[in-house]
Amino acid sequence: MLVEVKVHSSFIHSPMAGFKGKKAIVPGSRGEDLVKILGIDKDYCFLMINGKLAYMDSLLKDGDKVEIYPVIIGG
Amino acid sequence: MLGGYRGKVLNIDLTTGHIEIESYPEEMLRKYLGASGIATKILYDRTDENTHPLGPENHLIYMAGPFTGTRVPSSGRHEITAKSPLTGIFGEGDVGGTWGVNLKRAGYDGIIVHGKAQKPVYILVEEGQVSILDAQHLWGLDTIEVDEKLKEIHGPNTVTSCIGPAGEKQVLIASIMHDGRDARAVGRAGLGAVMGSKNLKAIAVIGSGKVEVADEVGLMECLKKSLPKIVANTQSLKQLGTAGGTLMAEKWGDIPIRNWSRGDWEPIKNISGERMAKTILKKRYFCGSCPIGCGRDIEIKEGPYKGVSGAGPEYETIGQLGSNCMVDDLEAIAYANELCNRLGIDTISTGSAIAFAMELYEHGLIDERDTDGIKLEWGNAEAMIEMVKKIGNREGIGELLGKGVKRASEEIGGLAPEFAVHVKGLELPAHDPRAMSSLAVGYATSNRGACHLHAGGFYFEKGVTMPELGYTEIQDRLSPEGKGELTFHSQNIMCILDSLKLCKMLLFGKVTLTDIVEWIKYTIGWDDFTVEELLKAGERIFNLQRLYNVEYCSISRKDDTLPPRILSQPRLDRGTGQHLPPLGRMLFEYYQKRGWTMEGIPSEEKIRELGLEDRHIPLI
Ligand code: SF4
Repeated sequence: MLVEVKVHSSFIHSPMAGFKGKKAIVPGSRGEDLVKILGIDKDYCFLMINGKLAYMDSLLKDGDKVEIYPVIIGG
Repeated sequence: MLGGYRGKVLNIDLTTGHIEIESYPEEMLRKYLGASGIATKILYDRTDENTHPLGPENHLIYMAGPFTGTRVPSSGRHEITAKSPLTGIFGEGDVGGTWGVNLKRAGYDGIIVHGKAQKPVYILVEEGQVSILDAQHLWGLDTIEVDEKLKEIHGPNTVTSCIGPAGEKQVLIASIMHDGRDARAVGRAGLGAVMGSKNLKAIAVIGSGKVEVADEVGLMECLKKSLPKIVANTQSLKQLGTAGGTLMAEKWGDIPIRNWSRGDWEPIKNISGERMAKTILKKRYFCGSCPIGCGRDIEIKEGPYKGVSGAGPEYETIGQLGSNCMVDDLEAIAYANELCNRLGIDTISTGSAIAFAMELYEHGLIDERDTDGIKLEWGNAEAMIEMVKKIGNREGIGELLGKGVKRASEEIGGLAPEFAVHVKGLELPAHDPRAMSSLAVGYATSNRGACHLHAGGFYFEKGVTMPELGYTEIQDRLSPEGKGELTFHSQNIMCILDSLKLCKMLLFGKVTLTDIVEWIKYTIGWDDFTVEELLKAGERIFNLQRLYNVEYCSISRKDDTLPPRILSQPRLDRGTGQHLPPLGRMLFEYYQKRGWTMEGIPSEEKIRELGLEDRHIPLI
């Protein structure tokens, strides 16, 4: 199945910053599996799926729009 | 007529009950900008080496900035400044919420309080009218109860700044709390004890006036350009709060673990911002005029901590009451956070003092006879909570720990000072100089003691850029190269933000110095203001704070250092390995860049360059 992925351009800790495109994943994949395919450290990012906050254990569905943002440490 | 400023500051002598209004010449506003800058000048003018921090002669200065109460993003903030009873040096705290906005709407830029009331009082500022009222019925109440009580008496639009029982009892790590359940804190440096020493329980404000700006249309047009980038680049803060990067902080070796003595800690996943969002988060909280909304509004619906609600723990709180004490129960931390807020104690210093005590307990320097039977073991959440209560109520061993780790360790003696992690008496916040080198020189030299929000260089190691200063790329976090110079710039920028009143989170929103100069133009009306003048103002404010510490508090290079644990004991984790920050090298570069002597004293030449040779001439 395919998901639409957008890696936010401010994600300086990932070479994938600014990436936009479709990614093939196996059914039953979770957020964690997707970021692994993309080579992104799961502790460095968080996900929004179809505009809503999601988690590394969130199940992905065909056609989901997944945005990947960098986390900001503290204040 | 300048925009932004209201042009009036209240000067209240609590000993006599006398109230005056002051206003400052434009030349001075341009020199010191507002909030932190103006308050620094007032503290410098009106207190000195003979001022006892808890004596009536100390001044407690509340000051908003020219942006407070306008549409400038994340400007709903104010500063509180005084000589610190915890450290004995310059003390201040920056805070958001809505108190500053309401003060400006009521017609004032600030309130200077000095003297001491004979009995407990509170100050009410209602649409320009000021009164000093009896607070005997509020004495003993916690900070949320005070807020509720004052809303009951003066109406729902009342916004309160107050102390809890800890401030009344002059606990040296007491905070000043704002906005009731939303709990916005001036946590650091024990300013709540200063308020308590004046018998001042609260300052309530009610304001509905408009803060005029120089060019409303121009400002709106200008903000249309900045807002989208701020919102897009701060999603993490909005979605996950300041605790959003907790897992990354553990991986980098940034968050303190076991009183700063070790690195990797797998249970960190139980206390992350993601875990909070998934479990107890109710909604986000936004300070006045803020498009980011990093605040957390939580609710615990079941279990032993059922009923906890309102402000959720920040990253700093999780780092201190959580990982530094090895407590991995998020709900217990949320409860301890609420207790700290209600009692009015700083979560950073409190968590740090408890972690320190846990280490003393481990080494047998204290035992159950000292703790009233509490088993103060690493990770014991109930023990951590009991210690919060003891510190806030100044009971048992809490009396000692509430003096901060420096004093407590000196009183205990023996090996205890080895475990006291502070700079100039202020406990380190939850960011480790072994993970981000600039923090070493930043903590060592910041004017209120160890403070990441005054140091600021670590923003540039996490991802902030500032093209006007040539920082177009992220800085290597472990390298010491150029970190003295970086800290020179970042501390000056922190002074600028604290004076105009801008939240530091805007830096993640890619706000530039040029943006800020534009906002000054449209808000205040200074068309000829430049980035250079802005940076000079920041440098001037920082140097005046340093001169306060040098001239009145005998601070010099001997004090610009770090705890031995940070200087010579590696975390040995996967993020920092053997890395230790070479402080001496960075400090040398820093003093040179600052134009200070090698003893850390601002040179006469630098003083003249900044127009501080006339610093002994009072503001008015
Ligand atoms: S970013 Fe957070 S702390 Fe800063 S003004 Fe906004 S809500 Fe307040």
